[in-house]
Amino acid sequence: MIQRQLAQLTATVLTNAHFKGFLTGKIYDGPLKRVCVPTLNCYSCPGALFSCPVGAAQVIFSGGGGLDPTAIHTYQDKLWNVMTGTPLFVIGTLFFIGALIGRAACGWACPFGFLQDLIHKLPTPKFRAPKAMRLLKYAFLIGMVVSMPLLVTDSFGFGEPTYCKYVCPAGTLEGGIPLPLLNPDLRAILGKLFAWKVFVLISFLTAMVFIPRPFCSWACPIGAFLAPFNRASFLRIELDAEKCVHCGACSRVCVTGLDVETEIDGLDCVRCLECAKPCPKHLIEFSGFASSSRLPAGAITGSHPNLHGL
Amino acid sequence: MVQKSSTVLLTKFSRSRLSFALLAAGLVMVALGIWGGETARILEKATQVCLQCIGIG
Repeated sequence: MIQRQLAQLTATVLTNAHFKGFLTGKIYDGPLKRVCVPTLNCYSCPGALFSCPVGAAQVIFSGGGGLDPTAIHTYQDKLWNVMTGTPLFVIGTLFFIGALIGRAACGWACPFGFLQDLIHKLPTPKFRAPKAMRLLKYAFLIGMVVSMPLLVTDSFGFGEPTYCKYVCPAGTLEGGIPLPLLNPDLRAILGKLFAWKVFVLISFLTAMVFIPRPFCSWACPIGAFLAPFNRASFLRIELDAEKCVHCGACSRVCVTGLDVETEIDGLDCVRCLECAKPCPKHLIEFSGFASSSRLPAGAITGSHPNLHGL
Repeated sequence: MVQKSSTVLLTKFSRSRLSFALLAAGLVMVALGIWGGETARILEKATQVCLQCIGIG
């Protein structure tokens, strides 16, 4: 599906369009960094124009004093402390995107999702991981993005971006590797933590070869946050179950390894619509925003028989 | 067009209202975040190399 890959490539380039950074090793420091993209793209990448919601949320949660009870005197103080200690802008951005398109950004615009799709195309045997592993991403979201930055603090009340520091392979790939390559000072301070992060990155890169989108399925906090929105967003994917011939062609191409017949548009669906392409009956399609505005799947994939020649 | 019951928990009408509510909640939170100075804090952090974030320090 060239259209989707083009969208992924465009999104990857646009979110990392500070090309000068890749030559100088200096990250972009302009006003666009106030804005979070609804995808995983480390803001310490030399090319990043925008902020990553995972990193930004941890900055606010770990900011210190936000929920400190000793700083609370009046009702207004309490309200202000809760408000400034909660990443409302980040959560609101994800609510906004989630309400509109659910996890479609994961399937169409995430640079790290794009990388996983590309690596998975390598011609090797493919496997499906146990479904239970998909629950891990919720543990990462609640434990390492929210709880630990908020609750594990130093003597000044500041936490640390636990998920970014110990897990996020996108941060290692996009910032942790290129920045030391471009800055000798950073190379000089690489240590055990960096070795651990490289190990995590290599583990995920290896898994991507054999398993469809392992990071999205097991460890992405943005995916975990946006997952419930697939049940409530304007955009939907519909499968005409009555006409389905149960051939399984859709499940064989699912980029997240789902059983499409039962899990389409569910919590782990990234709405890439790859499943629509091999469907012999053209039963899978985008819908939503208004019932009269249903888009035949082929309108996106270019495979719909009624759209040939357009 | 028949939707699979496992993927649709809500009727289209109530789902649309829920979508609108979530959209509105998102906009309110974005506004509150900007008013509370959150974007400035994000900008301050994101314009410096976060050594912790990339596994260096």
